[in-house]
Amino acid sequence: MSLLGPRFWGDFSSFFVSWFNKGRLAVSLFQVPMKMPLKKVSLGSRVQEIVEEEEEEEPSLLDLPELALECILERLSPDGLCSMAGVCSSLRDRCRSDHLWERHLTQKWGRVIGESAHKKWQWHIALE
Amino acid sequence: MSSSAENPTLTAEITKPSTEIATETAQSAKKITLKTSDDQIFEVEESVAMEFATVKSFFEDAPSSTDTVPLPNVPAKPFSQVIEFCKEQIKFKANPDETEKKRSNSEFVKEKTNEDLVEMIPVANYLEIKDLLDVLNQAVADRIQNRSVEYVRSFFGIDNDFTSEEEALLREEHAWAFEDVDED
Repeated sequence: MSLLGPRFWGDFSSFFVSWFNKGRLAVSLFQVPMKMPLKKVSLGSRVQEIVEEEEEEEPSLLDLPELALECILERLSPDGLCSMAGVCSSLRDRCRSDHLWERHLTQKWGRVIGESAHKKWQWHIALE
Repeated sequence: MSSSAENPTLTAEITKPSTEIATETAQSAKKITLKTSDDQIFEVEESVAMEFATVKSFFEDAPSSTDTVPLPNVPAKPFSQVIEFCKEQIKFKANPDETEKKRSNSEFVKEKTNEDLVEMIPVANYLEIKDLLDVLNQAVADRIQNRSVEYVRSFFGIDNDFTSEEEALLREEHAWAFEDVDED
């Protein structure tokens, strides 16, 4: 027993240590490549999902910056404004605003109605 | 090519095969790196980047900066189209030709979808490119102008939130405006 003692335990422990090291190394070598592609795949598919979601959602005219939308409406003719008013309630409210119509009024009728009639119209919209 | 002698640091840039080099000054060959909201990196010539008022003021505050300029409100897809427009615009700065500029601008918007236009407007707005914003707003107005309500709803991503009574009332009120619209 006493002969076996030191050699056996020495060998056993060195064997154990090297097995342990190899084992851990193997595990870590095995784990790393296993984990990496898994992560990549899931990330990749998530990105794709987000992109797809974005594609589904059409860019809306109503999401435009306030000023840009105003500029677009300013460039519409009277009948264009009226038909835009029929698209949805927020556009209806915008298209009815007096400053959009004032330009058309003065452009089309400015020379006919003259200064006093224009003042009267301004009175009228102020009272409304 | 004579500029390579004056400015040896730019030799690498100049030896690159490019047809545009002849019209460029040595200074405009400097590139500015811009990063879009979806983390795409764009290397844009300085002369083009200076068309973006937002980027320009960034470099006015920090003239020697070589950092990447983040553009948090700008996605890559419309941004590349905006760059395309600005490249064209610069040509007209050198030799102004209004009719040719108009033709080039209308050519630019003609081939864009409604979606492209609506995506580019916020970008032009954020980067403060006034010329482009004007062109885009006019283009959208032109496309809406003579169209039916249904067309505008489906092509510009707007939901109809009217009740059928409200809609009938509107049509009655503005009946004249619903006549003679273009076919969808």
